[in-house]
Amino acid sequence: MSLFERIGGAAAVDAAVDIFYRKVLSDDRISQFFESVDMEQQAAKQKAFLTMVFGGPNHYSGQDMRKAHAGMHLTQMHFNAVIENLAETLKELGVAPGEITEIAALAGSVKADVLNQ
Amino acid sequence: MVEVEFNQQLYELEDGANLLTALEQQGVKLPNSCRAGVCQACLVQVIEGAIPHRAQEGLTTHQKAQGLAMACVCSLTGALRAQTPQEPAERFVSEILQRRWLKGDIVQLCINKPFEYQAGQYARLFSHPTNPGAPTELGRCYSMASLPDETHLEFHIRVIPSGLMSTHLAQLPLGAKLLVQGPMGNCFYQARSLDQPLLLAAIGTGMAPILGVARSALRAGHRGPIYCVMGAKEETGLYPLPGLHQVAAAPNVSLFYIVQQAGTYSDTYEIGDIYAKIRTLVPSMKGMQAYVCGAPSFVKKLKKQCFLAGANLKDIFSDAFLPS
Repeated sequence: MSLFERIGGAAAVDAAVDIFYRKVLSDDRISQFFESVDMEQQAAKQKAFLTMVFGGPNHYSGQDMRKAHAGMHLTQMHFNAVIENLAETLKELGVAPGEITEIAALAGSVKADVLNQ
Repeated sequence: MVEVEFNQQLYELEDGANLLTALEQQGVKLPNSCRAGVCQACLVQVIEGAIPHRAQEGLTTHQKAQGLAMACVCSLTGALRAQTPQEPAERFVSEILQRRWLKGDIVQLCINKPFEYQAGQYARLFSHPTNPGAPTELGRCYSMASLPDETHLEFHIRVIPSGLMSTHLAQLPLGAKLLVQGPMGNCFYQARSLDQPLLLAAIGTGMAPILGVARSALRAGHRGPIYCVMGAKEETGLYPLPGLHQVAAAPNVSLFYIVQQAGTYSDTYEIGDIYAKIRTLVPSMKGMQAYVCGAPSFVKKLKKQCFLAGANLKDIFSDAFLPS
């Protein structure tokens, strides 16, 4: 079974998106990047992001990631904040530590694109 | 083969095929992202035909009622007629039945009801070309202040001196014609259970549709607590609303008036900050629903506050009004 199926597929994404987005908006390290955006649109993007890191079908390309985050002057600190919020969300939802590690690794795979390295 | 009509174009698609992929193969471009039934970028509106359950999984009641479906997880099992999601396009001719000043700069306008709607929804009004000086191509959105079972549509319109539409509407005579498009908006009563606690919050002319939501909740037999908070900058911004007394008298409704600046009759309202008031009233909004109407900055700020206080995004409904 794939990672995506093991953690519950689209239903798991649905359960995670509100919790994850709430954490991101409450995190002083990164909340300023989400101040001006429309909440519904942002939630849709978070869903697409979570689908990708949960190992689900997605059409994210490195170029998309690079373009979306260009000019934001993001650093390792910002990236860590997102990963921490992601891990906390998964813990709250009772996802097993082994799977959290797998998900964090998938999220880590886009780091160079997000940080424009 | 299955016959699929999309945006008035007929396609012969393979039985069991995926709607998004099959349309793309025909050269149709649809917005999409996850292609997994999650992000809802590829929503289409089904006008005719059975929608597979999977294609609506995770959508709101309102989206389902509109026939929206995610094309990326829609397997073709039978003939289908669909289109890019649209607002109701028809403009109905309606007539002004009543027009009077409610308080300060707010005018009440009653017109014939050309369509059915839910309390809290809005319509787009256009002047009729027969009206002298009509800004004919100007369409402006106003929420219905009437209840669905009343025989007319009622609007409360704040007249802005520089507003082309509001100043025009405020001087039209009885019997003048308007064009009405609607209904639109998803800020109407749709609690998941009769016991769910609700927050209803509005400023300015948002109070009328929010009161409509409260009235339809009570009419549906809602038993859970309803926190109703109405705000205005100054005392003059609070105006008499029809049906308010019945709503306030219901045992499960707590109604609050908040005014930012002190005025003459401060015993009928509280002076303070509406955001702080709501935070004290409902410190945790987990499991609650929120309905929010008013100026865009208010709606945006309060939605975020509700979400951070624990309300799910799917439980927050809103309409933002632009002065015009």
